[in-house]
Amino acid sequence: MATETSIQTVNPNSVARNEMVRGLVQLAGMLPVLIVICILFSLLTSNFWTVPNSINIVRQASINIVLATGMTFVILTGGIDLAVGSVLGATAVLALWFSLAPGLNWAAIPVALLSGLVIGILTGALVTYIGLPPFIVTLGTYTALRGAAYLFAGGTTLINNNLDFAWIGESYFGPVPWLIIIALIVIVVSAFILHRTVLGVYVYAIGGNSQAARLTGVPVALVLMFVYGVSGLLSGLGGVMTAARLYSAQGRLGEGYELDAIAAVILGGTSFSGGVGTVFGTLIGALIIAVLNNGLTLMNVSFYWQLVIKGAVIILAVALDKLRTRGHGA
Amino acid sequence: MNSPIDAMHAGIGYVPEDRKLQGVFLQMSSRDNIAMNIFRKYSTIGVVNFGEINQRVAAEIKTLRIRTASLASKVIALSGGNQQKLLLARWLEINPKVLILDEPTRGVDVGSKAEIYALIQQLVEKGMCILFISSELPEVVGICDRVLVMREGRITGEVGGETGISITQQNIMKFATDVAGE
Repeated sequence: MATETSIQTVNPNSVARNEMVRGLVQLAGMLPVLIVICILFSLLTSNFWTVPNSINIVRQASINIVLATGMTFVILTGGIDLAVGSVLGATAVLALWFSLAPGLNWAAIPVALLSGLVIGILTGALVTYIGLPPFIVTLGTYTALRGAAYLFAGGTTLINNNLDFAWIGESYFGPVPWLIIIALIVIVVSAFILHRTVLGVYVYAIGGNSQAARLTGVPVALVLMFVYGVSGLLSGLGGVMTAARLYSAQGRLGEGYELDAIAAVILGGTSFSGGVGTVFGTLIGALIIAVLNNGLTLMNVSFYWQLVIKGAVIILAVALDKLRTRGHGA
Repeated sequence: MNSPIDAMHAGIGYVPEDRKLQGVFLQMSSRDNIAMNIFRKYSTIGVVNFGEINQRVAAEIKTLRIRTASLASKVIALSGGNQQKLLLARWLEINPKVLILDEPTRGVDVGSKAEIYALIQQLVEKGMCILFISSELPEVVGICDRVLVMREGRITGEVGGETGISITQQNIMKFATDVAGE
């Protein structure tokens, strides 16, 4: 009863600063790991630490950044979206198909984005209204949409050498590739939604305690449809980006991408059970994966060993993070 | 009325029995926990007006004497009593006509308990109707104007209010156990 003093210290103006500090600490989570890996590769190879190679790394990461950002929304609510790679494949093929259809080529991008969005919203609806576990629903869409991607492509590879939107994959805005610009815009917009809007608060609330969220009047169903919708939409965007880079699309496109996206989110410090995490962390996570891919290739490490090392780094990094945060009591 | 949202719009607030499971967001800040019901009200096209929210929450923390290091500190660091007061603050922010408090003093330290009782008195004086659910007889006797006794999910009797039966532990126990007869 005598601890009156602590009450007076609450000052609205200090909140912004506290939040910034907290955000930095959270962000810093995996940043040291990224820096250490970068330093290691700079020492071990001669051409790692160059501007073209750095741009190359981020460009290679850009599609995973986009997918992983969508995945962050979903995992923040305590869910999972296994379908992002399949959605990417199916929408890339759709985009290519429309780009080749006479008079319909304008619809390529809208169709890819929209179908991604619709798939996501349907996933969210199945999760909320029928109450199916996200793992099961997206395992289903993961499989079905992979089939759809093959079917749309007619079992072959669709190629369009005069792709209208090829600039997305190969052009630059100033010195920066459009793929990177798009990925950064996705990060910034997502961070704004998560940290500045009512929707963002609700996402964290549902992930933190879904029962309390419901009892407090959070529109849980709508928010879940939103997060799966975002993940679907961004997978569609990933499909457009991939197609634009390759001038082509086929049924296998995006296989295994869901695992890289999940790895980026987890490496970024987002809690798998929901409620804790940031898209900036996810950005760092995606960069760690891209740097590993790039650096190990520069070192001529075989693809098989790359997989082994990548897997080990993911487990190690998250284990380190766990030990670090445990010291802070929560 | 089909959902918690409907109830909220009808002016009913509910502080649940299981604080950790149904009430607080342990990993979120005190600010977010208290403001959970009013984010929509203090926002422009979905963008939260954090300035206004912070001011309201800071005022609420002061009135209810919630001991938290800052608006940004996580609720997991607060004591049970302070978490409970934070839930009360959350519902007071929407100024409900009826406030349902389900075992509001469970797991709460003595000091906070007294503060919660005092707060309930204040709210009643201001005209709020409080539905106080409790299995602790002394606090029921101390705080209620009218008591409905329940046993195994059914109302078995009423004391206080217009019944003329005085609110005592014995009278309540009569209805709560079988001795009352039919």
